[in-house]
This record gives sequence, C-alpha cells and structure tokens, in this order.
Amino acid sequence: MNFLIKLKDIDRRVIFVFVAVSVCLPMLLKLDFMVVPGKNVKSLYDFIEGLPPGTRTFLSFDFDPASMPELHPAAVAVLVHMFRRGLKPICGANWPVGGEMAKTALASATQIFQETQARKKLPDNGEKQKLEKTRDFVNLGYKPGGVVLIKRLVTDFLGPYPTDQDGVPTAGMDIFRNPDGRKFSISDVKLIVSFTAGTGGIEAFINVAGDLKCTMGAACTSVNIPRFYTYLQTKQLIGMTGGLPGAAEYEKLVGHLGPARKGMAPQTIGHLVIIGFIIIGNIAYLAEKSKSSKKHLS
Amino acid sequence: MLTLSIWMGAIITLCCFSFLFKDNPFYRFAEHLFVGVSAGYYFSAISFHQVLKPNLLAKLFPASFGSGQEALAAPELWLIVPTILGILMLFRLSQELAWVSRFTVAFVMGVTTGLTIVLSTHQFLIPQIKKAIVPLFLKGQYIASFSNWVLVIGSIACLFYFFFSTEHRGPIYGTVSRVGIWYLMISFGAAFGATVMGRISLLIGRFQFLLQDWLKLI
Repeated sequence: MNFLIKLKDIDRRVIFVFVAVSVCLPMLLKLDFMVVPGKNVKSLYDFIEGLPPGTRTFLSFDFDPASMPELHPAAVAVLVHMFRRGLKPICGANWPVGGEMAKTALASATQIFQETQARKKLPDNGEKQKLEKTRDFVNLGYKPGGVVLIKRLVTDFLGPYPTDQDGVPTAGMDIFRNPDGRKFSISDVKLIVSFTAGTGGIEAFINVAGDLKCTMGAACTSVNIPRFYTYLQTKQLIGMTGGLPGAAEYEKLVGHLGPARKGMAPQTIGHLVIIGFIIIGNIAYLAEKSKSSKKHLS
Repeated sequence: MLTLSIWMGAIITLCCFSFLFKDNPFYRFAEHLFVGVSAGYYFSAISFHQVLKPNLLAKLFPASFGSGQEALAAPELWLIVPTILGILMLFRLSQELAWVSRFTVAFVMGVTTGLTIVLSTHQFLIPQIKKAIVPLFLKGQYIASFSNWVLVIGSIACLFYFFFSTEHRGPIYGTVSRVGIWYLMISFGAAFGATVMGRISLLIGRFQFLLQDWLKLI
C-alpha cells in the first residue's frame, strides 16, 4: 500500500526518461507497426485519385515549424499523390512562415516523385515526367488577411497574388492558363486542402468559400482533430488526415515510407507508457483515498 | 553549411530539452536566442519583405519599391487610407495619445465582427444544427440508429448543461444536465488524448532529427 502511495510522488524526471526511452528505442530498433488507413483519410485519397490529370488544386500551408513534425509528412504525401495523378497544386499560406513550409514540402515531394519515377520501369518509348515550376506547381507564398484574403480569392483569385513567392509574375504562368482563354478563378480549383495548425486554416476557407460548394479537405494537428471532426459530419470536408497517424495512413496509401510511418511504432509505445502512468497514478490515488478513509474510521 | 545548420539545430534542441531536468543557463540561452531570432525574422523577412513592401510600398511608391512591370505602374493612392490607419496604431506607444489608435481598432473590430457573425452563422451554426436533426429509427440499421440517438441525446444534454438561468437540480433538469456533464467529460478526454498524441508526435519529430539527421543512427 505504501509503495503505491509513494508512486504518486514519483519524480517527473523519471516519467520524462520513460517517455524518451519509449520513443527512442523503437526508432533505434527500426520497429515497423502496421498502419491501416481510416475512412476519413481514404475518402480524401479517393477524391484526389478520382480527379482528372491537369486539374488545379489549392493547398494552403497554415502552419509553422512548431507543427512541422505532424503536418509536413501529410503535406508531402498529398503532394506526391497529386504529382503522380498529374494534378497541378497551387500552394498558398495564411500563416506567415507558411510559404517556407510550402517550399520545403514541394522540394521533398518533387524529389520523392522523381525518385519513384526513376525506379519505374517504363516502355522503350515512355518518357519520364519532369515537374516544372509555374507549369506543374506554384508557390504563391504568404499573404496577410486570413478571411478577408480568402474573400478576395473568391472574387479575383490572382488579384492578391501578382507574383509568386519568388517574385515571378503570375499573369503569364502556364498553371493559371485556361484552354478557352478565360481568366483563372476559384471555380477552376477543384479541391482546397488546408494543412492547418489552428486558426486561420480550413475554418476560414469553410467560412468564406463554403457557399461556392468548393470541395475541401484538411490535414490538421492532433490537437485539432476533435474540433474538425464536426466538419466531416456535416460533409463540409471531404476527408481529413489527423496528426501524425493521419499522415502515416496517407503515406501508406501512396506507398511511401516516410517519417510519419516510421513514427508509428514510437507513437504507439509512447502512448502505452503514458497509459501505464495514468493507471499507476489512479491506483495510487485510490490507495491513498482508502488509507485516509480507514484512518478516519479508526 | 548543411552540417553546420544540423549541428546548430541539434545543440539548440538539447539546450531546450535540458529544461526537463531543471531551469539552467543553456535553456535560457536557447529561449533568448529564439525570441530574438523570431522577432528579427518576423519584422524583416515577414512584416517588411512579405507584407509591407509588396502590398503597400510597391503599390504606393512603385518607382522606388516596385520591380519589373510593377515599377512602371501608377501609384495606388487609395492605399493612403490604410497607411494612415496603420500609423494611428503606433499611437498606442504614447500613454497620452493612445486613444487615437482606437479608430483603427474600431475599424478592424467592425469589419471582423460583421464578417464573422454572418459567415459563422451561415457556415458553422446552421449546418451543425441541420446535421443534429437526424432520424432516430433507421430500418435494419441498428448501429446507425444507435449513433443518431447518441448524437441527439448528447446535443440536447449539453445544451441543457449550458443553460444557467435555472439551478441544475430536479429529476428532469438535474438528470439531463448530469448526462451533459458526462458527454463533456468524454469530449475533454478525447481532447486530452489528442493533445498527448500531438505532443508525442512533436517529440518523435525531434528525435528523428537527432537520431537520423544528426547522429545518423537510423
């Protein structure tokens, strides 16, 4: 009994060591846990899979380096999938360093795409597809304004973006060219995906562009999963990848062993250790309670 | 250069982790470095080069700040209005003249409130209410029916709990609001679980960096 009560006062540093070991060991031992794609991740994947090649999509990078471990793998997996399907992602950002996050994700995704292309066995006359900036993808970078910016995108998409993040004028870019010569507008975007770490992300798009019946998807941090589930229920989101597990599920669907899938074993074992400590803490609490009530009676 | 940045990242990560043992000068060094670098980066790279220069200066003084075709465009003089509103905000630095900044604050509040009320009602409140009105008996679909019962009872019970004009007592009001508390507790549990998952994910990200990019052990 006393041992259990003593456990309640365990030094927090002991817990830190346990958590650190539980995360480190599976990485060093290269443990690989099974990942089963869930319904919400699969529906986003299926929607992208169903889009015809050449379709333009808008990806909003609404996070900063603090959320990079969770959202960067999801962004890379979605971009790789889009490149393989021949889709043309247009990247923007509502968060100040989102433009840099998009740049990093695009660099990783194009590299993975080229590597898998190189491994692919093509027929003799088959040509490997090379991705070209401003034709196959573009990074428009960060623009301030949040909801007001999105409202402007609805009326005049290229108005707030005269140039991309590198200062190249958007007016002459192939990615914004319509075959019938019509000016590029939000109706030419068939899917909006926001990589959201908090406010100013997918909720801002639902707020403003929801009326246009634009199809939307999201990738969010784990903290935001309960908040964004409500939009799946109302069908305002077609699908969602939540946190690192969501990104791992998407990586599994695109057949890429990235940091999210590699992180599933440490994630699971880390959770088990925390569950263990919660159980120990509660047992210690109950033991202390029963001891004090016994003392009271005697 | 890459090696140097990896080493710097690794050392700063270890400095931050050292706080888990106890507060120490290494942690404080990393903390101050972060605050300083963030402030400088946000002011120069973000606020000036990504916000003020392309959205205001290049349009108001195209010959001086614009590049390419932009430099030949006529100045957009209407931008003087937001410029003045922005300058008014700086009056907050003075105790006597701080009231002047209220004009800008009032403008921002007015626009944001107007937009938020309309859009939130239209895109958040109404769709959620619509989706909470579901059939309670679906022929042959027992799980879906059960799920709908859970949704309807939860929605009503939680709304009851947040009705504070009457004391939460009695067989009906007390019981229903107690059910609401249970629903809220379960949702807090889910939120806590999701938060723990997020924090572990961040830790995994750091360890992947340390073990893979820095030490090359995996």
